[in-house]
Amino acid sequence: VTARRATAAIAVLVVVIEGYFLVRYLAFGALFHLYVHGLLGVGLALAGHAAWRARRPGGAGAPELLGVALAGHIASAVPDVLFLTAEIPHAAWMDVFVAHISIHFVPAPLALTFAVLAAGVAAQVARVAGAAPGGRARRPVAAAEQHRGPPRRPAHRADLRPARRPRLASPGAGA
Amino acid sequence: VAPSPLLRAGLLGALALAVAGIGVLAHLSGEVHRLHDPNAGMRQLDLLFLDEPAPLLDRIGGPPAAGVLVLVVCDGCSAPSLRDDAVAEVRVTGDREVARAYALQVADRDRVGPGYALITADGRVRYRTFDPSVSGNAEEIRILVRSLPGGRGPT
Repeated sequence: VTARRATAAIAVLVVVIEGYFLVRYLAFGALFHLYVHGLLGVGLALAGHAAWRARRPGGAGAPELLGVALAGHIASAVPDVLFLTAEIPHAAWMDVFVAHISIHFVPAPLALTFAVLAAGVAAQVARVAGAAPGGRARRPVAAAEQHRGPPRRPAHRADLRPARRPRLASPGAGA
Repeated sequence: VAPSPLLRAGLLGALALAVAGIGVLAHLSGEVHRLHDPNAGMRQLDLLFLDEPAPLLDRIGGPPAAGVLVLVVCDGCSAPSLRDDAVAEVRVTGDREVARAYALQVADRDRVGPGYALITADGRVRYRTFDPSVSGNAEEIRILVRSLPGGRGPT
């Protein structure tokens, strides 16, 4: 129930914020910017999250993924929000927000950012495939766990000393 | 039987890409996109990326006496109406020479604009862009005018 509530809450947040973006960009006749920055931000966020999650155990639920995607879009759209709310024109330093300026100067920005989104989605699918039973990430771990046996106590310093060679009696001793 | 996590992730990923792809294709095939700048990335950038002497000033009536000149370049479009808190003079021209000088002509379609350039009182051009609805985007132009020297009026 808690997971469902979290999913519903983040979904409502996504609808409200994306709806705000859609209405505002439409009012300026600038859907192009919604697509370019949205696709780039979400794609990079999904790819980065997949790389980060691949090193940690456990899966990522829907709320986490929705939150990551939303955060990616918001991060890439900060300069547009500043323009719309604080009337601050764009400046070169705004590249810190997911290359907000530079992405306008690459060839075919829409096609490029769509490819970034596709790469992000593919990274997430690959992460799920790696985490699934029989997936590449789990198989060696499971095999190792099977053969490991009970956990050992940490080695004591005394255990690390080289064992003394047993003293052998000389053949002539005691003769 | 519940679908496997991999199948579910694949289906959700395909759905997300399909939604985004349909949106992008609809935009690319729409009238607004075809009216836009051939150099698609530069449209409505809202970055004052120019700072050079404005070309053909004598042909467009000289620089503005005060504030900022909004030079609307198009064939038969209406001028934007800016609020009083922006000090601006708006002129509309369909002159092909002017359009070419401000990179607001599409040569392969023999189309002038639609777009606009912003010129300061010292005769420098600070911004130009194609814009499919210059009069409809007065709010965007107002924000840019107010950020230029002399463009900020009483609020």
